[in-house]
Amino acid sequence: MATTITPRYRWLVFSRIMAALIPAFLLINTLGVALTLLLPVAQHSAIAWVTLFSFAGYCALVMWIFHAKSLRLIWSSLVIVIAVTSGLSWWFIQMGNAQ
Amino acid sequence: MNDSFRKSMTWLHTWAGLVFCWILYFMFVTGTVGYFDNEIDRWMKPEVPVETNISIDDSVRVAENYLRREAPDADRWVITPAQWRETPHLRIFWQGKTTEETTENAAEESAEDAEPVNGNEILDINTGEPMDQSVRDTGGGQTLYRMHYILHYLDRDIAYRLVGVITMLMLVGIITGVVIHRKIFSDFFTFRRQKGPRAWLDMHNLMSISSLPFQLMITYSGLIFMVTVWMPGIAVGSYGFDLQKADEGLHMLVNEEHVERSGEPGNLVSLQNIVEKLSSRDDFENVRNFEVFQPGDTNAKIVVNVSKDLSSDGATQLVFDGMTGELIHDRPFVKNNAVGVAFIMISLHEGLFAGPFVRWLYFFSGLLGTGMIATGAIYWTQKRKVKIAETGPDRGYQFVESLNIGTIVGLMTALAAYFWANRLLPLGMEGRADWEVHCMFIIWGLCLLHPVFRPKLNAWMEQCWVASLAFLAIPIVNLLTTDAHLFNSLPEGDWVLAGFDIVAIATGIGFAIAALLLKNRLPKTQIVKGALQQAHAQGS
Amino acid sequence: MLMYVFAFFAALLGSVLLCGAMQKHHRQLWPNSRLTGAKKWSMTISGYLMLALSIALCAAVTNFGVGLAAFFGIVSATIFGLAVYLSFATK
Repeated sequence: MATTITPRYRWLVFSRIMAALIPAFLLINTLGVALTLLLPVAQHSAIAWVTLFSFAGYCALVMWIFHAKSLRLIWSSLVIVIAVTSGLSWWFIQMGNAQ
Repeated sequence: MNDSFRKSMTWLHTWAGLVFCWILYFMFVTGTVGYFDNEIDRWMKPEVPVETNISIDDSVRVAENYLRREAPDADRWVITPAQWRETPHLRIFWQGKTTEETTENAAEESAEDAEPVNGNEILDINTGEPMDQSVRDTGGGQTLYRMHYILHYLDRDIAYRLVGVITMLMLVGIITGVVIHRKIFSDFFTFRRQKGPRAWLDMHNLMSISSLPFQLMITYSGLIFMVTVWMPGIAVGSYGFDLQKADEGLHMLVNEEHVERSGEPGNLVSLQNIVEKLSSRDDFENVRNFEVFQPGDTNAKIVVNVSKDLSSDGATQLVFDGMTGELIHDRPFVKNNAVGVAFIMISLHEGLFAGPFVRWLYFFSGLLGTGMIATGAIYWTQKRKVKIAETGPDRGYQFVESLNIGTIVGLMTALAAYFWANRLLPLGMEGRADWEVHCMFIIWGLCLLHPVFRPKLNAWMEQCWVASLAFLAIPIVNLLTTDAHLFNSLPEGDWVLAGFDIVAIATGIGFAIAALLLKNRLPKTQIVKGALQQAHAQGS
Repeated sequence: MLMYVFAFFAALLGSVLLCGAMQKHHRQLWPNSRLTGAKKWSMTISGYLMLALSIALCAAVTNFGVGLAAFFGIVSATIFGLAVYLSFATK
């Protein structure tokens, strides 16, 4: 808050808000799906547990987004984790269907 | 964004807290009074008789007679006996077809038009007929309490999503708040009496820390309430976006009865028999409701939900055969531990298990939460005051200050207006219940406009006076318009009605004290204001 | 109901004792008393014991779950009241 409000500061904040709203929310979902498929418990039970804690995870992720130094780090991490987890889930579901 | 984690979290706490804090305050106020929703209902419906000591037996007998006569072919009946605080009257609900006449009429018109007809009545235990509650058309405490999650005027879907975002911001606010306030235990009682921003911050900390368990519980459980709106993606995605599979998976978490019709008409066993069988159980007193599936069919089943205090079972579900009255299942409703945790969180949020003492504690914790939002919002402006005195007030600052006044105090005046409207709007008025709510929001709107045109400290003081008068007058308005006033309720020992008026008086006195405190500070700050204007003139 | 009232006072006493075990607040509560090591220990231990007693009393009313919910409510109220008292009614 001591920071003077410059266009650059506005951009830093705006970009983080966007990251927290859209990709971060998406990440919690893709990561959650991957976890439900990976956890060694019955799927419906895993879904219930993961969903129960998803809000805590989202909260932690938002806090990290507003702490992390560079925008590039934030966006690239989000995109990579989303890609990896959704790819993993896709592969798992395909395997499940093939059996 | 900053080098130190605490600094970044302070930034996040400030802005996540501020951005929707006025709606959050609204949610806290309406949710907190919602802990007394049934008591407020009593006060707002003084003509509705109070029934006490109705046995489950009587409730079921009356309801059964009515439903057998009016809805023999329904798909489902639900009978909620008059029993506890939140069920002061016998309530019935039915789903599906009503009488044969309506079915025939519907069939004549068009088979596709034959939508299932649902019904919902409160029955008078003495006459066995629907109770006439139309004397005073009112939203009561229920409308007020529902505002904290449907925000009243908004479309349900939009409201749920907005409330979800705000609750998420609240969670971020709490967790970052804990991070900022590292020395949470050793600084427990740090509260400095001096004026200015420091005192507001101390008060904010004190209110938040002392009620931290409540705030965490109420916020996280609030999110769990929203789970199907906000986080359905994990379940749906996990089943490869196969909605039918996801639905099946969901049904594996709880025990639900699905009864198909056989098509053959059957004779439903008397519910009195079921009640008799139940009466030997230890938890007979905890019977919440009776559900009858396909009452007129040979496949009929009767489900009795018995809910204990704060149990991870959700409820104990007793399933009886509808023809023989034989007990088929005695099982917990919840089949999964995670869902059990969710159910505990939800019952903690609703606090239906709470007796009078614990209910008052809930109310007090809610007030601390309300105060936490208010002091946080005030601290935001106080902290900037010094800087503003140098640079001149900017638009953002004035906007926040006006919203603070119009909401923190103004909403309370609006709340009083809701109760005034209940007593003063003409009884036969069209859309009366809606107008009670309109009155509340019109007054809130006026309270939001007022600080725009006044010096801010004067506006604080004036609004406190208005709120004080509005609340102090409630018992008087009550005295002039109904028999439910203190001179009757106190001698009769009717603490629900008397309690309402007493709390109104206490609130009024509280605002009067606030107004007097503000008055003492007025001249001093007028000097500051002069300095402000000077500074502003120099700046421009 | 009466049980909850006892639990309330047990929690209040516990909070006062724990408060008294802290140097700064000890002076606020008893200006003429000096906080010695032995006093600090006994106050801390008895303070926690009173809080435990409060939980036990709450749990005795219905069950442990409801009791714990009630206890947190009671502690919020006592701590808030005590802190306001310490800052406004003492020097």
